[in-house]
Amino acid sequence: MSLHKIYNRYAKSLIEISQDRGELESTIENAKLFLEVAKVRDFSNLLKNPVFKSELKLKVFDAIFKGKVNEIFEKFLVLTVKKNREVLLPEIMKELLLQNKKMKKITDISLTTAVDLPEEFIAKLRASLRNASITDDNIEIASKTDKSIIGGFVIQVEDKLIDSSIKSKLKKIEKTIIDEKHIRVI
Amino acid sequence: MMNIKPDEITAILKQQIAGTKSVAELEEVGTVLQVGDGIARIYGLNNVQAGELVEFETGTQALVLNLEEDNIGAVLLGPGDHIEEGSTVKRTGKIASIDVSEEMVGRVINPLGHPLDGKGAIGGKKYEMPLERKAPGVIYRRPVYEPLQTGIKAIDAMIPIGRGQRELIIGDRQTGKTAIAIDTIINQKENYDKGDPVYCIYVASGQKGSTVAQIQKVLEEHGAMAYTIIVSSTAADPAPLQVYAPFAGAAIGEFFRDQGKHALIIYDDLSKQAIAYREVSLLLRRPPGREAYPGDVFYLHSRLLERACKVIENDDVARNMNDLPDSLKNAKDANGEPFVKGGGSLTALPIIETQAADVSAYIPTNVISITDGQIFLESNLFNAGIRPAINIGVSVSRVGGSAQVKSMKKVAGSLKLDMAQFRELEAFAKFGSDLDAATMKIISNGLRNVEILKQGQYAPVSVGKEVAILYVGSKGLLLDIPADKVKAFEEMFLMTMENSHKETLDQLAAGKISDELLGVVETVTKDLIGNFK
Repeated sequence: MSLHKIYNRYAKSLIEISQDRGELESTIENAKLFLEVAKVRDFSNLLKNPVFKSELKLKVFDAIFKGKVNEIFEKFLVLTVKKNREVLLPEIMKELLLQNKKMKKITDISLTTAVDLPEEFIAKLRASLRNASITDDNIEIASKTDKSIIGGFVIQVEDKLIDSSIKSKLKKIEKTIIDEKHIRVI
Repeated sequence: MMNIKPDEITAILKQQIAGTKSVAELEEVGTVLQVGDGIARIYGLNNVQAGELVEFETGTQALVLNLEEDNIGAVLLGPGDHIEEGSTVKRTGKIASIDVSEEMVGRVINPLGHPLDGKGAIGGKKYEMPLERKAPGVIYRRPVYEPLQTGIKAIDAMIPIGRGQRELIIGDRQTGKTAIAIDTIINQKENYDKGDPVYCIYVASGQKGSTVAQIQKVLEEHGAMAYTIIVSSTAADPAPLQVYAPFAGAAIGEFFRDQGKHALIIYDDLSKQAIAYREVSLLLRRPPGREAYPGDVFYLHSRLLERACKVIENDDVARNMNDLPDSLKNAKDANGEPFVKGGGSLTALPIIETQAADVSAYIPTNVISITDGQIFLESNLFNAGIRPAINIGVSVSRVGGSAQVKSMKKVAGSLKLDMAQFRELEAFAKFGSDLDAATMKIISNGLRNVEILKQGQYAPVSVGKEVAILYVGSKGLLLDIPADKVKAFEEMFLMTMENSHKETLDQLAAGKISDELLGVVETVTKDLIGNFK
């Protein structure tokens, strides 16, 4: 069975129970915190390692998260450990954030440019994207700079990509010039 | 070296840059989850279709085969290096296809249509032909009725092949399977010289590179490359290319077929292609079935071989053929006529290699049941010096009989009967003199017929000659000379016929048969036979 089904279910149930108790926001924050912690190599190794007993893992969770996360989240961690699914925790958390965004109709947009953009530029882009009605959902723009694209910009909305960078234009020109019919066989 | 003027280059560059679309297009992208063993798992690309080509940052293309809940399985059609986890994948919006042009004839290409023979790019007007295409429906076909002469006496007489037929060539390794196919290609030179070519497509799937090179050389030596295309995917190519090589060949064959021309395609060999398909399927984690082949391996071969057919003669009906590619639909030929015409044919000669003559293995039984007959080659016959090593008893042609020319049909009828009787009595031949005269006659006539049916490699015989020499054999005219001198007689006989009685051979080749024509054959035989007693 595909793992996707598994972490999909765990994430869904955690969201639903948090919603019922009106603690969704704090659960989301907790999930983000967990993902931060999971970046620590020792911690992620501990999750994956089957040699460590469940009790030990629970103790570690207690030491790290006690008091910092809400009650539901704490119980959720215990449940996953009991079901031997703690390996999937990072994936479950990612899925949880995704599902939360889907539920609230938030669209992630990644913007890549060659130079740092001033805030007003991003605000303008946000407005024009909304006007262009590419999506009428709420927009969350994650902008980053990448010198290798030389100039222009690349916008990615989920699966769709608008590539208006100098790098890709140069690549297109390269492709037309180095077409097979222009290669002379000696 | 030729001097190139600077402005020349600039002009070209300007032109090309102007032709580049600078408007940013909306692209659909996904990310690579994992890549390895020629398989990529991709996240995203929610709208991608099965069978669509996707492109990686490196320019390598892949074919989408699996659409799963949370990822997409695609097989790489090129090198997988520099494709990393997290790199982006673009949809191309195209399904896998090959650009076919008239100038492809005489070339060696790979299944993607790229030339491999170092003779430069392939020119000509290109037509995009999809690799996967549905076979023509019932109303666009007509039953097989024209012969496809292989130039091999045993086959043309007893296992005749018609244009549009699928005839399987099956046998162990080293029994001369490819040789039959190559001889058949060489024999089509006659049609090419007459201006009515049968275009030949030789598809090598999983063969050795040296074999392909050797075949190209032989075909070139016999002037057969002028009407032949070799689609090569050797054992060193990625498995998906080996799987799709026959489909690329079929697409090229359909290009000729749909123009009302004749084409012959050789799939050498489908057992290796099935193995490559098994590899791809297992890597894509499709469940294995019998002999670990996936469940759809029968459909893999049946849909491929179904594309070989004889198209109905009516142009108007043929133009409405199902699944005609857009590139052909509205195309016009040089005279402004619609490109698609009726009356074309695609004949397929798939080859299957058996292990220790086991024809009840999975793939051989599948392909035997799909095709319209099979030519069985046996290693013990091959080793006994009977070449081509065709086991006439178990070889059949289910539709080719109606495609034989009349003269051949008449001669072959009695030959078949003689050979069947001979096979039954062959075991008694050891008792020698203890047999009655009638039995002795059948045996000794059979022995001479076997000699006549022996034939060297790369030496196809024209229909007229085939009819003449087979008539001599079936009439029992050679009973007076020893069996080991039959070959020498045949050579002399055919040379005399060629030199002094060309018109008789032509008449026989045209299907005419009369006492007068046969009288000529008998007289020549009687004149020559004295030299061999």
